[in-house]
Amino acid sequence: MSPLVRTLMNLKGVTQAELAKSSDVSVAALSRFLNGSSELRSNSFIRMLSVLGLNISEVLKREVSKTMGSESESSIEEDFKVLLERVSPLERKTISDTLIASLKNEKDPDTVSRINRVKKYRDSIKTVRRKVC
Amino acid sequence: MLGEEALTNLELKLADGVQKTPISYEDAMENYRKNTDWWVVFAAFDLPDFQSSTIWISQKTGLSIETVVEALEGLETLGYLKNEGGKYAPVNGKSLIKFENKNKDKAQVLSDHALISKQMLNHLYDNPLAAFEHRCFASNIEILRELYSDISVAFDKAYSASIKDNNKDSILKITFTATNVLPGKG
Repeated sequence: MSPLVRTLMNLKGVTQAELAKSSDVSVAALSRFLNGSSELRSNSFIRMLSVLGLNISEVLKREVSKTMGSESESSIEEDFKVLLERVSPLERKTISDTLIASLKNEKDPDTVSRINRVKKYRDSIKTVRRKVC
Repeated sequence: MLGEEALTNLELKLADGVQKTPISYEDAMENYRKNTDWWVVFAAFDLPDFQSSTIWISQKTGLSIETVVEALEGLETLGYLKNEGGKYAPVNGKSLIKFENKNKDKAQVLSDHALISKQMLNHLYDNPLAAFEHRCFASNIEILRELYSDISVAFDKAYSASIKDNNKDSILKITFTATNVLPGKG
């Protein structure tokens, strides 16, 4: 599994030192794991995955729901994401604008940061296609 | 604020990109019908202090440069604007974008109207100047038909007065919605 973890680290721009510190493992232990020469303790491994954005609790919850026959096996966030991709670019832009407009008076730094990311996403949506000359 | 030389250089870069990658007529028409950002860009040409500059339009309207460039190019593709030596100007006789509902079924018209209205209401700044009313009451469709005629006349009246006014300082997005919410009643 270490090559996949390494790939995820590269994609997210996380260094070994940062990941080791956030996951509460030594740099040496993480390095050995990434080289495939040893394994990590299970709690360290789960913490590391969480730092990389993989929430094991959520995965388990989803599996439980799925096994118990809940209506959907995907999370509401996934549903939003999938549905957002299904509508036209202009609809997507408008939905993003609605979210931005609804939260425009927010002061909380985390919320403001998320709104700014939505704004960047909104501005990246192209409502026209370009012919390649 | 950018200096004049920087603006010119930036405009040239934008124009350079424009020439290499034209917008398809279909996409331009789709945006012309439903994208109110394009309406705002077109309406900006009627402001007394208008400058035919992408940067100026972007700063005046709060729209991104990319959006303004797309709108200018798209409106040119449709024949609403002409490009004269890198500067855009409206084509005579084409000075108002109006919601098009011909050749569409009712569901499509309502869907497009909902999209357009949402865009209008999302486009508010910190101190918006706006007029709004909300009502919900039992009525008869004939009463609504008469009201709708009055509203349409009022919209046209405001537009005619605006054309003649030399002190235009705003770009207004105006929308009107009245809908029957009882299931099964068209």
